[in-house]
This record gives sequence, C-alpha cells and structure tokens, in this order.
Amino acid sequence: MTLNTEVRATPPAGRTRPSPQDEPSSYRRHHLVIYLALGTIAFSAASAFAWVLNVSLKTNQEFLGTRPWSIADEFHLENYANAWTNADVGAYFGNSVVVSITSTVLGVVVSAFAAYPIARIPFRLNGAVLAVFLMGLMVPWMVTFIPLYLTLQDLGLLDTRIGLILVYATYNLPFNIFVLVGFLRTLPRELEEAAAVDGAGPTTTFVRVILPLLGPGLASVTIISFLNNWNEFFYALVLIHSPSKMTLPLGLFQLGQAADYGTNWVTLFAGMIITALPVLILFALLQKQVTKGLTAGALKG
Amino acid sequence: MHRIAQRRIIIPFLLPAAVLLAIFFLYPLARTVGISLSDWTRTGASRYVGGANYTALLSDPDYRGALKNTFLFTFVGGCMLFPPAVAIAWALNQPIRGERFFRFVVFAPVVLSAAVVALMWKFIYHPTLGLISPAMAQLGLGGLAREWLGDPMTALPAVAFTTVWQGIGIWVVLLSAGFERLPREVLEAGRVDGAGEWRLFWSVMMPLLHDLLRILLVLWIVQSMQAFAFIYIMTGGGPFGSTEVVGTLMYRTAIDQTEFGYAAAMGVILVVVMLAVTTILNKVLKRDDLEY
Amino acid sequence: MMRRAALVAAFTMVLAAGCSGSSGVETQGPDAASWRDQVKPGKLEVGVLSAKGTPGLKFLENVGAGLEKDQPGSDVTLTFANTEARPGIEQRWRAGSPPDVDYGMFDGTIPDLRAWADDGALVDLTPYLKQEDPGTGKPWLDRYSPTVRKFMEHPETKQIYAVPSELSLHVLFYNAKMFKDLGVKPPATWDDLLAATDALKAKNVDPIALTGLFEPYMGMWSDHLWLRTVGYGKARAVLTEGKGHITDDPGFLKGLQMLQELRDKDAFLTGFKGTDFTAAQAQFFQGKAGMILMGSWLVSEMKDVVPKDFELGVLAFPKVDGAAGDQGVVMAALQNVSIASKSPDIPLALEWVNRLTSVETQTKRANEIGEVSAVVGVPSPPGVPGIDTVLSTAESLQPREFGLGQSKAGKPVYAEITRLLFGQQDADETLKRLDVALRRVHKN
Repeated sequence: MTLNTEVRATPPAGRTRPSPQDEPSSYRRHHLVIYLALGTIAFSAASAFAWVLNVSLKTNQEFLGTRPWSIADEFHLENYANAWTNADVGAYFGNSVVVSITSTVLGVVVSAFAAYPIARIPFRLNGAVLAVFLMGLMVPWMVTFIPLYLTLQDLGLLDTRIGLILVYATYNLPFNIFVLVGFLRTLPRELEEAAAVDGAGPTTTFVRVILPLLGPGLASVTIISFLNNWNEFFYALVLIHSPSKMTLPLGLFQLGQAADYGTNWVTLFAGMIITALPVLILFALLQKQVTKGLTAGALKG
Repeated sequence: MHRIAQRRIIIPFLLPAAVLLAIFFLYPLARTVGISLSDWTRTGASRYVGGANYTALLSDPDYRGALKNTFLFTFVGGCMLFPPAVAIAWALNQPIRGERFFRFVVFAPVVLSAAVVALMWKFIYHPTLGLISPAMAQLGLGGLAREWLGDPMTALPAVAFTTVWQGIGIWVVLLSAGFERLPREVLEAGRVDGAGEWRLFWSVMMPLLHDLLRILLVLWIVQSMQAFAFIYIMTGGGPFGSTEVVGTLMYRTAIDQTEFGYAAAMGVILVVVMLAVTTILNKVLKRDDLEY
Repeated sequence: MMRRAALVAAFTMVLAAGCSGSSGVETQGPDAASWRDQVKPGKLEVGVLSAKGTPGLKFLENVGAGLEKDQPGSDVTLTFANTEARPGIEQRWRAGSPPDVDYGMFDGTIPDLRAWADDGALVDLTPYLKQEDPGTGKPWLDRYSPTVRKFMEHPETKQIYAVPSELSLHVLFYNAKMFKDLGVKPPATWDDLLAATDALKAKNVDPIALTGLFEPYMGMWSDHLWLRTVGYGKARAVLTEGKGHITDDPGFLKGLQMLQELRDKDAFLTGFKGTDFTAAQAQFFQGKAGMILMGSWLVSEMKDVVPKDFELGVLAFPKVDGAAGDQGVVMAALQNVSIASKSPDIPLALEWVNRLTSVETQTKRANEIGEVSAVVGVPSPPGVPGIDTVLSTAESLQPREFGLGQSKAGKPVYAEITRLLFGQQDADETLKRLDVALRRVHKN
C-alpha cells in the first residue's frame, strides 16, 4: 500500500474547524484503530480496482488459464482499443454524456421548484403530494417497463434520446424532492417574511433568496442523480434500439455478453475502466461540494 | 399577506414535476395495476381476470418463499451495512490524515458495474480458485470454509455482503454528512466534561443522528426489497431457491415465462408491503419519546 | 387537489389499460413463385444472438456486407437480441415494430413459442420453402435436415414458421488426451461412465466438471438420465405437460438413483457447489476434470481459451443398458430464425434467411466459428471431433430440458435435482419432493 503512505504525508484536507484538542501532539489511541480499519477498507476497494485494471491488461487465455489473482504477464493495451472501437464505446460515451447531463439538470431544476411549496408553504394536501412523489422510490422496473414502453410509443418518444431523458428525469424526482424538502425545512422560517417585508413577491423570493441558499443541496442531488443516470441500464435497453442512440451501459452490457458467451472477458474489464474513470474523476473533483451539500442539512427528516 | 401570495405559486411550481410524474410514472403504474388484473399472453393479448392473479399469489409457496428471502436479505444486508457505514462515517469525521483519500476509496466501488463486481466476488468466494476458502485453509480454519455461494446457509449473506460492499460508499457519504453537521458545542461540552469518545458516540451522537438513521433505514429497505442485479448474476436464485427474492422471481415470471399479469401482481403486492413496512417503521421510530 | 386529479387520471388509465391488447393481422407476403425477382435494395433489421466484438457477430456482419454488395444501396442492421435484450425486443414485437428477421420467435416443440405464429406475427414460410432452389434444383426445404423439421413446423397446421440457423447438441465432452494417457475408456454406456469415474478418481483427477451455481446445467444430468430410463415422450408428459405423475414410472426413481450413485462416488469437480459455469468450463479445459456434459456451443464459446495441445473428445450421453427409455435420442436446441409479417420488405428478409442458411454460409460458419449446422451437406466443425458421429447415429433429436425451460415446473424440478446433487437428500426423498412440486405446479 504505497498509496496509503503517500497520502498520509499530505495535511488533513478540507478541515476548517479549528479544534484545540486535535493538535497532532494530542495523538489519541483510537486513531490507530481508525487508521487500521479505514486502511483495511481502503485496501479492499483499491485492490478491487487493481484487480479490474490487472485483468484489463491480460489476454483471455491468461485470465481463464491462470489463477484469477495472478499478475498480467505483459500489458495488453489493445484491450482498450478493442473496447473503444469494437464496442463503439466512443460513440456511446457521447450519448451517455448528453443523456445523463440533460436529464440530471432537468430533474434537479424541476424538483427544486416542486420541493419549495411542499417544504415551505403550508397547504392542505401538502403531505399527500409528498407521499405521491416518494412512491416513485418503490416501484420495481420489471413490471412497469411494458406500460412505460407503451406510453413512450403513444407519445412518439420511443427510441429517442428525449424520451430517455424525460424518463430519467422523472425517476430522479422522488429522491431529489425527498432530499430538497428536507434541506428546505432546515432553512429559517424568517427568510420569506423578511423578503415579503422588503416587498418581494414569492417567485422573486424563491429565485433571489432561497435558490442561492439551496446550492449545496442541489450539488448533492445533482451528483447522485448523475450517478444513477450514468449507470442506468434497463430502461435504456428497453426504450432505445438504434445503435446510434445507445448509452454506455448498453455498450458495457454487450461486452458482458461477449464475456459470458465468448469468454472475451478482458475487453469487458477494459470497457469497465473506461466507463468508471469519468465518474471517479467527477467525484474526486466534486467531492468537497457533495460532502458540503449533504452536510448543510440535506437529509434532515 | 405574503401567505396568500405564496399560495398562488403552489400549482405553477408543482406543475412541471407533477406532469412528468403523471405521464412517466403514475400512468404506467396505473397500467401496471391494470395488467395485474388480466391474463397477459406473450404476444400481448390480454383478458380481464379480476383478482385471480392475486388469489393465486396467496397460495403460491414460491412467492411466499421469495418474500421471506426478501425480508431476510433486507435484514442481513442492513446488519452488514449500517454498523460499518456508521463506523466509517464516524472515523472519517475524526481529525485524521488522508481523510479525503479514504473518502474517495470508500466511495469508489460505487461506480463499478454490478456485472464486474459480481464476477470478482464470484472468484473471491470460489472454493478452490478463490481467496477466502484457500486462505482459511492456510490458517488452519479449513473446517470452517464453505462453498459460500453454493451453500444455502451462506449464499444469501454472501450475496448481501457483495451488494453492501459495492454500495456502501453512498451511505457513508450520506452518514458522514450527518456527523459533520452535529453541533460542535455539544460535542466539545461533552469532551470538556470528560466523556470518552465511546460515550460521546453512544450518548450524544447517536441520538442526534436518530432522524437521519431512520431515513436511511427506510431508504435501505425500499432499495433492498427491490434487490435484483447481484442475486440474478451471482446465484440466479439458487441453490434450490435459497436466494430467490421477489425481484428475481418477478423477472423469471415476467421475462422467462412471460406471465406479465402474474408478475405485475407480484410487483403490486411488493409495493404495498414496502409501503406498509416503511410506514410502520416511520411510526415506530418517530422519536417523540426522545429528548435532548 | 393535485392528488385528486392524479387519482382520476389513474382510474381512467386502469380502464384504458384493461381494454388494450392487440390482435395480429396477417399481411400479404410476396408471391411465392417470383419472390426472388422481387428482392430489391432496401433496409433490413436482423436480430442476432452474438454480442459485439465476438467472431460470431463479425461473421454475420460479413453476410450482411455480402447482401449489401449484391443489392447496392441496401442497409443491413444487426440488432443484439439475446438474453437480457429479449424483453425489449419482444416488447417491440408486441408493439408492432419488430425487427424484420429475429431469433427465438418460434419453436414447434414448445407450445409457448407457437404463440407468435398463432397470432399472425410471423410469415408462413411454407410456400417459399416449397419453391425450387435455383442452386440445387430441389425445393428450398430439402436443404434442412428432416430431423429438425418438428422444430420448424407448427404441429397442428403443419405450416413452417422458422428455419434453423444453428443447432446445438447436448453431448458429453471428454479430455481425449487425458483418457488416452491414463488408459481410460471413453464412456459409451453408464457402466463405462462409472468405471471412468473410478479410474479418474484413482489418478486424482476430478471426473466431471459441473457448476453448482446454475441449476439448469445440473439438471442436464437428470434430463439425460430420464431420457434413457423413462424415455422422451413419457418424461416430457409428466414433467412439462402435467400428464400423469412422476411416481407412475419407476424409471424416474431409477434415474435419480443413478445420479445419486454418481454423487456418492464424489464424481463432480471439487467445490462445484460454489463454482460458476465459466470457471467449471475453464477447469475442464485446464485438465482439472475429465468430462463435462454441455451443449456443443461449448467449443465456440471457449474457443479463445482452449490450450493449443488440448485434445477434445465428444460422445453422446452414455446409454443405459436394459433401461426402458430412449437410448439413441440426442437432446438438442435449435436456433431458429423467423420473419415478421409486419416487415415492410419481406423479399429482402427472405433473401437474408436464404443466405444465412445456405450451404456455403453454414460451411464457412462451421469451419470458422465451430457451429453445428442443421443444413444437409455441411461438414461438422473441425474443432468438435466426433460431433458428426453423434449426429449421424442419433435416432432422433429432441428438444432439450423436455421444454422445462419455458415451463413453471422448470425451477422446482431443477431445485430438487440440485438438492440431490448437493447431498441434501437421497433419491427417494427427491422423488417424493418432486411429486409434491409437480402436483402443485400442474394441479393434478
């Protein structure tokens, strides 16, 4: 675990709270336990990636012929070229970017508007509306895909990216609204009253006063929605059939099939790395915002 | 005054979300209920049969078994998920070095696809090529080693563990946000009073996180009761049905046997069960009795 | 207010959903005598079973390229239509916009797979198959082996709705080099198999590779034993069609007892209970097990990872001397292609089917991919030595799994077989539990 020692040398990051008790000198014994435990977990996750990377550099014969844990003899980078060209990962990548970003933005914007009255304006059916939205978390796809297919067909949205975007945005709504309502409820009641005293209408209040405060909450639902949309497989499989409109998980699925029924495992692993990298980078970059967003009270009941 | 003005924005603000929800969720859901009341053939011809699918389900031991396993999966997985997730989140909130690195690696498996994670764990669990059983043999614990995925006693926990291993990152992120949000003053006051970290954790942090934990528990239940991918890939419901959950049974019924009506009825009942469980849980765990 | 509106909407929709459902209308195909003259450039979408990046798909792409070359301006799209992609593809069939040519839409031996034909969704190929094939001067139909006719033909109307694109036989593979080196006789009979098991065990080789994580592959053993001890027709009647009970014929218990004997000899791969099928197959090719019962697709599937010096042997499932069942029957799965009656270009679809199942294409496929063909005059694939003997000596081919795969009885039957193989119960107990399960499923 060289990675580990490397990182230990860096100062504790993102820590703004000055806490006199946490001076490095006041080393606590339980920290050893923490490092051991976290180290084990980090090790298991890092090994998983190392394994995937390792397999992605093997030949198929090597993968199935030797122990699954042995190190690749030499690096077969052509697996990546195969994944990129044969599986059209390049083309699917573009579709995935368009579909995931658009649906995420749409889902987040629409839920921000919907969450506001539910959270902060008392009206009679308030709880019922929230309950209806939250029901969306509970429905398994195996049974709804037929009616959903028919609905999209009726609307002429079958096999279109727009159809997929609308479906994804809708399926993001329940969780987004759930989180944002919790977040909005933690904001002080006086905000609207103060704005009203200043003569601002409710829409202006929402846009000028509430939305800016909602930033961290929006950041967290954005990343979680994006993650879901980026990885979504089944609806894409059912609702899209032109290769030119397919998303990355469909490409990965084809690679998985080639692995299961043609023992072409290594290309699948290469494709996996290609698919996982952008999300990992995005998370690394947005990690601070995500944590901050959730910290700011996003998941308060 | 501004209350009345506020009321005027309720409908316009809710409308876009409501329209999306109505078209792409409520309408298909209603049609699902419609399908569950009919006998659907492979070719899509349907015949109204009323509640026949539901009455058939009541006496279907496969469905009962699957429901039982679904609950078991939720329970076992929950036990595997929450204690470590809380511990990791707590640890990440301690003033430690490399916190961002740890945060990143704990989260990282979330972005790997189920297909690949399942495959890796199938190898890890493998009795002879794997990592666990041979390692146990080396340590002289060979007697305890099992065919993890092939043993009806261990298959379900083994799959649940894989599911948790892959997904724990999200839960840690959500939980550690909760820890981060705890009021500093309360904790510092506790420390000044000489409370150890252990005491602090149980008597101060846990009660303060009660609401968050309740919500996450509900989310876990809702999510794990729909579990499908890992079970489907790793055991296919076997050995002899010991890992068959409603998700896999429904898939088989709908896709392999193309009995959509029957599968839809299973889905509708599952939704009702989930609603009931989460409502009860929410009621039971409401912390009116707690104060701090 | 929102909620009330939603409820009203939902209610209306339930009503609407109840009334939906389509009935097929048969469209007119081209005139049978002159369809070849009507083949013109156009667009064609074909469902395929091979995933991207596999040699199988590359092969089909070449067939498509050939068609595009001969019909300049044509556009052939191959759509992946296997496994998890099926639900989406079948939903397209239900919704009336299917691919022009697709797999798995018809199998005369499985009632459930006759539904599309009964509904008018498939082109009746009979008139076209009766026309003379310009290449041979004989009817097109004569191209296909008569042994597979029952898969192509509707048993009631005798109309043909599908033609075979490839054939899989369930056979016993063995490691020929290992058997030679150890002086073990390849098992033609059950007694040979038991002897081979003992001989391999004596040399510290696991006799039989098996996966414990995929129940239908374990069920292959009971399927074949019952084929030999009960017979195809009777076993299928009891298991799949619910005619009679499993306790009526003593052959069922006998088959289970034979399987138990194999289990008690510890004949299966060490740790098979926790072994995935990919790993089990790989272990066979690595010489860690002597035999494996599998479909003939095994070779094309594992093509890339079979060691160069591996010598494969192929046998029909061993005969059981003195047993009452079918000793000469081989279990098979046929991959059938059908044409959608909603296809806007049926002549082009016919031309695709014609090309795909031509002797040239099938020969090339056997040589390059190792696929067994149901087309007469196609040599058996060189990578699967002995498969030609299996095919030529087979009394008849019968659908694999007794059709249990599409039946509600499949899961409970194979679960009990798994219990038996895992040592949870013996043959008698297995029979009892099977009886209970089958009575429940078939309500008899």
